[in-house]
This record gives sequence, structure tokens and C-alpha cells, in this order.
Amino acid sequence: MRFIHIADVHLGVKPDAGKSWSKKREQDIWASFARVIEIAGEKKVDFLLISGDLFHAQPLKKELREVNYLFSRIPETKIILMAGNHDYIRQKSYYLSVEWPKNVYFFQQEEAGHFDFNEENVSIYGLSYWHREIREKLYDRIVPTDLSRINVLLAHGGDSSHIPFGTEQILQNGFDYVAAGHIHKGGWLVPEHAVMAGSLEPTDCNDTGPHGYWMGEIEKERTAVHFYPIKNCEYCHEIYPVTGETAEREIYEWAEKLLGERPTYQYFRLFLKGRRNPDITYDMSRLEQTDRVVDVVEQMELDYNYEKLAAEYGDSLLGAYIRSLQNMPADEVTKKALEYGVNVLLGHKI
Amino acid sequence: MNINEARIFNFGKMQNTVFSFTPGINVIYGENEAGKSTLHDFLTAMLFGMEKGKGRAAAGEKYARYEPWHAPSYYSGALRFSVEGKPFYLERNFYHKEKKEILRNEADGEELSIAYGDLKVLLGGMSKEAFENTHNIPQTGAATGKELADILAEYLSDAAESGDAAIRVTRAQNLLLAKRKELNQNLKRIKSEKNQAIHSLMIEKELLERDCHALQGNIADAEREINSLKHVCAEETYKNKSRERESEEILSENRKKPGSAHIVILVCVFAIILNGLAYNCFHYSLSLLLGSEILLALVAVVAALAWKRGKEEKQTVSEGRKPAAHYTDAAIIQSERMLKNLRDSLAEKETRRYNIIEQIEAAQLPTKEEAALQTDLKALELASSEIARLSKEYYEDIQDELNGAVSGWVSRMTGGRYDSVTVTAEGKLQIHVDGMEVPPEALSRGTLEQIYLALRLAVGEIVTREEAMPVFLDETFSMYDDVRLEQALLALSGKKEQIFIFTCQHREMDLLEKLGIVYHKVVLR
Repeated sequence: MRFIHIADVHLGVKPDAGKSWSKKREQDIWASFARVIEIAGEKKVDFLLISGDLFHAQPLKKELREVNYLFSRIPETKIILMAGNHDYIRQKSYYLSVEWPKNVYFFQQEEAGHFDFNEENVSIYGLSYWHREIREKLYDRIVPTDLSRINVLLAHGGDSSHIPFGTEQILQNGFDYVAAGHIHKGGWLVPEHAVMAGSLEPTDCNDTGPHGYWMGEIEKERTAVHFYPIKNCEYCHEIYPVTGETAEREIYEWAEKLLGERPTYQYFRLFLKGRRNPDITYDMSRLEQTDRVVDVVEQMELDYNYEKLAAEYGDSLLGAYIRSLQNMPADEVTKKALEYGVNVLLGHKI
Repeated sequence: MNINEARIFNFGKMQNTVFSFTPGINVIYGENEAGKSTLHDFLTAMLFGMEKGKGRAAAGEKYARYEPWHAPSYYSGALRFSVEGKPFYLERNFYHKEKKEILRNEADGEELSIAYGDLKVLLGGMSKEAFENTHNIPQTGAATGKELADILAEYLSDAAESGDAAIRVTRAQNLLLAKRKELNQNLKRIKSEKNQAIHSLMIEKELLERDCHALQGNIADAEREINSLKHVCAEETYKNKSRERESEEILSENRKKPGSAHIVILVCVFAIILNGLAYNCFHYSLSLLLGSEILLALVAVVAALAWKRGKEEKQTVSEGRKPAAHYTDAAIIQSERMLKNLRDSLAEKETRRYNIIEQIEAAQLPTKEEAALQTDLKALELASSEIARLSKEYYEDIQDELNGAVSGWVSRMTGGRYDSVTVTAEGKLQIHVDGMEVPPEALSRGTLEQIYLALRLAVGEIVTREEAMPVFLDETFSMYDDVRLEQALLALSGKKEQIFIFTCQHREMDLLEKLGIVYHKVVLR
């Protein structure tokens, strides 16, 4: 069988709210989905597997109409579909009343079922979410009925509150391929046998790295599946190493150079890390308003050597303060309290 | 620190005068008006500088007092001193328009900078104020016992707060407090923005709920309408069978004009479309949406009226024996289509409503920004409470040290008569004689002055642990009797600091000689 596998398209999501490109991102997500349909048509693949969360929330009728239109454009391709945790089925969901085109196969129950395709000798197993969270290991118990067929599992989840599963167990049960979704960072779960598709496009600035679809061929004996990136948007996390000597302008120039060098489909969350001079603060507001900069996260520590300071200030209040804070459980609060306290005791502004 | 030589180039009435001093006790003797105060003030001015004040109040200040009459721009002198065995040369011109400061290490010739705090380092970090409070001891003769006790109390509370540590603590706490206020404001702003966002989602939800409610009403109406249409239809089918022929003629006539039921349906469909449009406009105008509510209600009324009329017409038709079976069937089909549209519209709105409820739930969760601010606020609170706790401990340590030092000095100066003097956290002095507490007011003035001196010397010792500073005693002993003076001089002779005794009497020198204490004599004329 020749197929395309996608997941977590999140149609309807509005990423980067408040940013000038937010609307474009919303539209791009639709465009990418349409592009995948187009490719499925061009390549004449047998199956399009969509492993859940096609929609970001309960699909509206209008959205389903758009999707149905796209589906109807590739009548040669069988589209296998499920509801994920974001667009899970409710009593009144349109998922229950929509009339799909003939080539669409929708898993409507939360109980596992399967569609058999005799011509290709393929059986595809799956289910739909009827709840926002499912903690039972529903997938681990599915056993294909006919092992002579190519058995594919359409799965969504993998974390503790969304059908946790062990891929090894599923493959042992007799599946030839697991087409999984839910985790937005895609990749092989088991080489050649199980793929976490990743979201078709990133939906959040933390979805770094490339995103796209998987295309390939599964036979009983061999599989060949490859990842194809979609380059509408890629979020990148970039770090500027701050030292006690860093000037604000240097950071701005670095960012400007970065934005100039990188392809325009890349969007950035910029990190300032390292050690900062206690007397200097950086104003990043202008940078945060720059095109393609999602935000700037400051994670600098002050340029203090606490051991040295404690030794230097020995019995004084400052020395006692450093020792006292270092004896407390080292969590985020004490770490910051140490920094604040030393700062003000040395007379620096905070 | 040890002052070895003072060179006055031009300061008050002194010109080109050189004084040399030795470590240990220096007695500067001179009659009234001989220049003791001038020399004393010169030494202080050399060590800590002297600025010209501004305004009328400045007239009485030291700058004005010693400003040379004839050559105000030549207002200067120099000091040779040693710190940790290294010799330094310090020269100043105090003239405010041509201020000049030279500080040089005489061993290697290195030029140092007063502006960059090199002198302050040599002075062990001591401030002018701290010096005035501890090492510059004036005559307190004029003070009564009560006043002295007050000075002591005030002095002690100063000492408690003093030391750079306490100043730092107060400043540090203020900085922490200011930051807490700032972050709390940020948090408040974020929360109110969030509430606003939730609020507008709630409004959207409410409006959708009202729409849903109205649609449910419309659906019920439409269902009733269909039922009655079906009823009419059934009746007419029955009647038609008896009047088949006639009705055929009428039917053909009727087909030519649109029926009023058509209008009902058209109006309703139109209303649905309009309502949908209005909903889309929600983001731009709430009022429009409210308008759509009214529109819906209006439509319902119009529809009801039209339906009534339609029914009457039909009745007329039936009464006029002009049945329209096909026509009624068409009306049912169209009404059912309308009903379906209404149901779709309701379902769409309910889906939207549900999605909005989920959005509201998501919006109510604390954001990362809020969590980060909460962490920061907790950290600031921790820093603040920890500094308060440690500074209290630190103060208690100083307190113990101070009490020990004061007791030691008092004991030495009073020949062991008062063995324990403690200072409370509030700065109150507690004096014990043979285990009994004696209130300071009950002590003689002479004794109080001794305790006062002891206290200053003790505090001075504590604040100059890094570098011992010279002690200036300016007519301090004028009220002491010979026994007390002897005790005081004996106690002072054991001090490592350089001592300057400014006096207009011979008593100190006589007693020092009698006690066999080596001292250096400077006589002013």
C-alpha cells in the first residue's frame, strides 16, 4: 500500500495571538493541509492516514464542509480518519452527522474497530476519542484478526493522559505499521514500523524543528517511509550567550544578522543565557516587536561567584546570607532569592 | 593609621606651620585662642575633606571659619601618615573653585586617587559621620546627667543602626520592597487583562446561548407549523376525494400566484441568513448582534402573523371549495427544509458555544508569565525575611561584642567599680554594680561622662576593626577629677590607636609624667 500519514493539523488554531503574522499562520495551516491533499492526488497514494486532531477544537460545519470538499477532490485515495483529544466526539459533534465523501473512513467509536480493504489486502485499526483524556492503554489490547493482511494501527496519544502505549507491545500484537499522532515533534518510534507523524505545521512556538508529512509504502515484508517537510513556518529557539561585558546593541545586531541569514519561514524565540553584569539590564521590547521574533526569554544569572563572595565577606551579613541560602533546598525560588538578596546587599538596583 | 606630620600652608590664622606627631599619646597644649581647634579641624578636614556649603547657613560653617582672608584660593595643607607601615603623603587645596587633592604612596611614589576611593580604603572604609561619632570626642562638660544619658541612648541607637551593615540592610529591604510592589502591579495587570479576555468570551457565550434559546423557540414553532400543515393536508386529501374535479380547476389557478406560506418560509430563511451574518459581525459590533436578536423576535412575530393569514387563506380556499393538496405538500416540504436549516443553525451555534466554553476553561489556567511572577515574588519575600532574620542575628552579635567592649572600658576607667555595662536592643544603657542594676540617671555626671567616653571608644574599636584610626579628645577631661583622669589616661595608654589630647591645662601632662607614660608634646603659641 502506498500512503501518506499526517496528524495534528489543528485546523482552526490561531497561533502567536497578538503577533502581526498570526492570521497568516492560521491560513497557512489550511493551505498546508490542502497541499497534502493535492500531493496525495498527484502521487495517487492508496491511503491518507490522519492520526487525530485534524481540528483544533470541535469542528464547525463550515470547517467540515471545506475539509469534505478537499477530500472529495481525491476520490482515488482512501482517507482514514479519527477524532483526537482536541476534536473529540461529543454527543452533538458534527462528526456524528456529517456525510463524508465515499472515500472517507471515519472511526466513530471509542471502541477499537477496523476497516478492511481487500483489494490492497490491508486492514486499518483505530478508534476515536470520546473524551478529552483517556488514561487506559486502549491500543495495547488490540490484536489484528488476520495476520496475513497488512495490519496498520491509526493511533493518537502516547502520554499518560492520552492513551499511553508501548509501540513494542503493539507491534508484537501483529501490526505491521503504527501511524501515530498527538506528539507534535515527529519522528520514528520504531524504525520502519512506527511513526509519530508530528504536527503537519507547528501550532505553538515550542514546536521547534521541521514539520510535515510522511509518505511511503508498506508491504508485508518491507516498508519504506520518508519524512517530507512543509516549509510554511518553522520555530527556532536561538541562544545568545551573554557575558558581563555584553552590550544591548550587540544583542540587537546579532538578532538582525540572524533574521537576515535565515529563511523567511523561520520564526524565532530568542534566549538570553549566561551571566549578566548586575548593574545592567537589557531592554528587549523593541526586539520583541520585530517581525518573526515571537519573544525574547531572559534566562541569565548574575555574574556572581557566590563561593568567592561568601569567602570575601566572611562573617558579614552578606556572607551569612549566601551561606544560609545555599543551605536551603536548591529550587527556583531560593536560586532567585539568592540573586536578589546578594544584589541588594551589594547596593545594586533590581 | 598613624599621623606623622601636619603641614599647614594656609588654614585659618595658621600659615606655613609644621607639626610632627608620634604613635601613642600626643598632647597638644595651648592656651585659649592658641589654635587647638584650628589644628583639630585641620586634621579632620585633611582626612575627610571639607566642602564649602551653600546659602546663608554656610556662613557659620568650618569652610568659612578657616577661609584665608587675603588669599582665598590658597587654602591648603598636607599630611604625612602611615597605614600598615606604608608612608603616604596627602595634600589638599580646599578652595572650592580650584579643589586639588594629591595622594601618594611615598614608598614607591605611586599616585593614588581620592576620587576613586583610595583614601577611603586607607581609612578602613570609615565614613566622616562614623568618625565624628566615635573618634572625635568633644568636651561634654555642658551636658547634664540626663542629657548625657539621652546622648548615650541616641548614640547607641545610632550605633545599633550604624555600621555600614545596618544602612545596607535598610536600603536592601527598601529595594526588595520596591521590586515586590512593581511585580505585584505587573501581576495585577496580567490578571485584569486575563479577566477581560475571559469576560469578553463570557459575553460571546451568553449571546450564543440566547441565540440558541431563540432558535429552539423557532424550531418548536416550525414543528408546530409542520404538524398543523400535515393536519390540513390530511383534511384536504379527504375533502379532495369528494371534490376532485372542482379542485383541479382551482389548483391550476392557484399555482399562478405565490402563496403566503411561501412568504412565511422566505421570511424565515431570510431571517436565518441575516442572523448568521449578524453573528459573523459579532467581533465588530455587539450591538449588531443584539439587533439580530430583535430581528429574530420580529421575524417570529411576522412569521406567526403570516402563518395565521396563510391559514385563513387556506381556510378560505377550502371553504370556497378550492383545495390545494399539492400546494400544501410543497409547503410542508419547504417548512421541513426550514426546520432543518434552523436545526443546523442551532447545532452550529452550540458547537461554537462549546468551543468557547473550552476556551474559557483554558484561559482560566495560570499562564507561564503569572507562574514566573509568583516565583519571583516568593523569592523576594524569602530574600527579605532572610535578610531581616540574619541582620537581627548579626546585630545581636555586635551587641554582645559591644557590651563586652563597653564593660571592659568602663571597668578600666572606673577602677573596676562598675563591672558590667550592657546596651539593650533599644539602645538603653544598663549599668550593674555588684549585680544590681543602676539607672543612668542615678549616676554622677563625672561617672556618666566616663561611661560615655568608654562607650565611644568601644564602638570606635568595633567599627574600625580593619584599620585603627586616631582618636581626638578635645578638652574631654576638663570635668574629670584627678583620680578619674588618672584612670582614663591609664586606660588610654593601653590603646593601640594614636591618641590626640587637645587641652588648655597642664594636668594631663603632669599626670602622664607622674604615671610614667611616654607621650609627645606639641605646644601651640
